[in-house]
Amino acid sequence: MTRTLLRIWRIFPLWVHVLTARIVRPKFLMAVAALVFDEQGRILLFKHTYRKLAWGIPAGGLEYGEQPKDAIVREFLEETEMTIEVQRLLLADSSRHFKHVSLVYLCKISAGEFKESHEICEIQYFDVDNLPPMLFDEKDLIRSVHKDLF
Amino acid sequence: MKSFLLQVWRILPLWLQIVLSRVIRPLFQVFAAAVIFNEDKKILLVKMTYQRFHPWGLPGGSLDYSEIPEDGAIREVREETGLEVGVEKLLLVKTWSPDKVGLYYLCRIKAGTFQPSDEVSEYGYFSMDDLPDVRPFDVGLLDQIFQMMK
Repeated sequence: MTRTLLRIWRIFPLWVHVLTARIVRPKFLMAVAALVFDEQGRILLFKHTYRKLAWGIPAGGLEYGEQPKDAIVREFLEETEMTIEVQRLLLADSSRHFKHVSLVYLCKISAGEFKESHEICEIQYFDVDNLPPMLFDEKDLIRSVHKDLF
Repeated sequence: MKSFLLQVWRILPLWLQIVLSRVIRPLFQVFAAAVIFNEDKKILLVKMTYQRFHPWGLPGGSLDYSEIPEDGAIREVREETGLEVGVEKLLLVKTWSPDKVGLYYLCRIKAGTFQPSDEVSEYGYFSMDDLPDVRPFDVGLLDQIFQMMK
């Protein structure tokens, strides 16, 4: 049965394929996140002006047609006027509750001084055992990556 | 203006933030694919039954809601080829059309032998010099993967 359907599917023009895929396939919000550690293994966190839980991992949304690697550099620059360098891709994570996929990169700061923006009012390095109130998922992520690196 | 909007955003209930996010933010189809090499450093590609043009490609498919991306890659390989694979690491992430993001996982075969499925009729191991009819985008992608594995 599936086989026959797939055969019929195949003869449809390409635009039907593209349109149908757009309707039936799951769609996700894509977030990119940067984990930046200092020499002592402390994690860099941002204080957000617009969030209920203000502190969190530096992150932002992917735009259409943008490469994730470029997105995290752009977001960091927009929010803090600091330039980062991507060291490596760490993981892709999804959420059980939200239609959401996050891509997490290990990064280091290469240039610039922190400047407040509309979205970020403060940045600070935190000891991983003494994190401020923030999402549990983010805490778990920081601790597991920290354990692998230090 | 922007900072005012962000303040308004902050007082919205969480459910409304989630609903609004899905309306105002770009949404992406996410694909999880498996990169599998044999002992000769050739890469596993499969021939899709339902693609008229460029039928060959990496095994993989659309991520489902609330599915862990790694599990998506494992499930797709199982459905398409009958092979049981384990994920070693996330090799790279690429936006390959404005609203499609591919997650490419390095995998190894744990068990099973190839079984043709409704979606896949053949498989083969290929080097960069003798690629079958893959999509134009995949040529660049596969080249990048081969470079990374050197």
